[in-house]
Amino acid sequence: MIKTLLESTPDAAIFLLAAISFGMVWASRREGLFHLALGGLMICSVGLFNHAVNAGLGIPFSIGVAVITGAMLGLAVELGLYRVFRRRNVSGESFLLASFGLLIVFERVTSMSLGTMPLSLEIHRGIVERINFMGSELTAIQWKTVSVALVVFIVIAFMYIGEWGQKLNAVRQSGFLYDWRVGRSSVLLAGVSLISGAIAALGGVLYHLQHRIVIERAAMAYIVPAFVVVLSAESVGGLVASLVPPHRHSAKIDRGLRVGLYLLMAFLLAILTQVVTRVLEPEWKNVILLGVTLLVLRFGTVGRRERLPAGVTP
Amino acid sequence: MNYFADLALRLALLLNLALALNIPFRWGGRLILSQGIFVAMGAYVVAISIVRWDLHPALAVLLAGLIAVPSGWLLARIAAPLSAATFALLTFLLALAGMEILENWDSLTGGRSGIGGLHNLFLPGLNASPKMSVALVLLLLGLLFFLLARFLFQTQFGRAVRASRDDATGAELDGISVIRVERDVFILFAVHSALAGALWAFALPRVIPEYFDFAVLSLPIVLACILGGGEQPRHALLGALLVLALDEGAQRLPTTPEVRADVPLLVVGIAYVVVTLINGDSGVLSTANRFKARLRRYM
Repeated sequence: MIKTLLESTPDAAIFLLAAISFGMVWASRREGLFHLALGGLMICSVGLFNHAVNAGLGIPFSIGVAVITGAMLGLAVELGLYRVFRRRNVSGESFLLASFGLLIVFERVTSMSLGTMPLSLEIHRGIVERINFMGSELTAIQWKTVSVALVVFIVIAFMYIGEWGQKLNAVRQSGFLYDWRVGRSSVLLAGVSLISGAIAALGGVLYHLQHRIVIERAAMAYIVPAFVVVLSAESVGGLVASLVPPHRHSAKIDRGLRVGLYLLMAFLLAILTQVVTRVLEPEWKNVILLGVTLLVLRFGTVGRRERLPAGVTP
Repeated sequence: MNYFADLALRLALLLNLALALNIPFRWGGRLILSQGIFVAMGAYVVAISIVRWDLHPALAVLLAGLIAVPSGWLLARIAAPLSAATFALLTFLLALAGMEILENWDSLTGGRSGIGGLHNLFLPGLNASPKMSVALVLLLLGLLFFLLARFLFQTQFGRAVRASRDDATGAELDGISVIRVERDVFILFAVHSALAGALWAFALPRVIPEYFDFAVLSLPIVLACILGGGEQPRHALLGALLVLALDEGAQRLPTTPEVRADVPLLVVGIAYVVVTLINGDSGVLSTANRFKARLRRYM
């Protein structure tokens, strides 16, 4: 049991990093923004990381290159695409389609630059040395991934609970009112995209350092658990918040609860995939993710129509 | 000759799938990113029932259409409470999970190596190759559904679908059951996609999961519907033709052999971004009309 829990933590850490970066941009729009391009800019950053390592820059410096690339690409997507869409007040589907387009563009460009896929990353073997701890055998890089994810999570949780989270929530409710009463929402959103891109790139590099192989559909494999974690956390968060009596309700606790649920859901999802993969021989990860999403959407309140048609049970 | 047969087959498939998606997407405002799975369902039902159960090809195609009915109904049940964007995302997940099932459920689908051994299709009285024969049958199917869509567009049903998209509450107050309308739309979509897949299977050397991949099949069809822009069935046809032209152009770009496989998909990705950036999801015809109007103003 403890062994399974421990061996799920590296996956949970990656799910958490992906979910934090996806969730930030998702929370910038009232109906949610499905920023799938995040997977694409992650794979682009991994591509650059690979080139940097091959050029002899060393792993820490190469990670820096990848993180900066992710941040810059995130910012470019916000300024070049999403800002235009927000100004035009386009539908959520248009955001989704454009984001899909970008995901494919980034993925293909990286595939072209890296050559034949799957590609093995030339990383020295020291980082995959196994460390025995309570019956589990995790590698050095897996422990580092878990530590980095926890640090990022704590920083982001404090940001969400603090003024930044309050501002982001305000922009989500009404960008127009925020511009009128507080400041420029475009600056805040640019910052959100920058941080989100950087975290996505960091998560992507750590994931690829663990597996030391870049697969054909790495971008999609990275982003799908992210939105499942975010949808689950938002749904469960909504349900839990509805149980709190109105006079005890606090927006700060609400925001903290949701970001805390990112951690819990990432962990639960990682355990679930780990257990199912052990029981059933082949890879059924996406089937599990679909099952979880269906369950969450059925019982949660996220992603629903504004008004349910007659005959649909709420 | 083989090239033209291939081109005709791709065109016929694209036309059918764009027509099928046009109704839920453009009329009903419901974007489905898992069309490839419905096509796969049709193809696999045909392959399994002919190769393993020795069923007559016509009955196998009919069975594929019948099996699509409950799957369309199920999709409508799932879609009912969800917003358009969330449903679209869910269908994306469905596409990925569906591919996993096709690849991993060896006893049913034959896994990655798929199912082979389907008979070639020859049309009586026509000296056409098997691929051309399938293309012709697919074109006939497309023509039937095109006429049906044109007819439905002007009927009470067509208006109800569009009303449900524009204002579901208003439509319900007007006596339209949004749930029933969506159910019928999804069933129509599923049946058409599965029938197209069932016929396409006869032109494939083996029915393998690769052909139904999300990026290879579903994405270009959605692009066709966006490029076409309008609600009318002819817009879907125009979109399909544009996607085919785009794909053909991409394959002829001067590239190195290493990156040749990536280029068509890259072009599709760029088209997604450019089209949505220029014109939201209003399509090429709408842009052309706007351009014409501006030109008239200056002249």
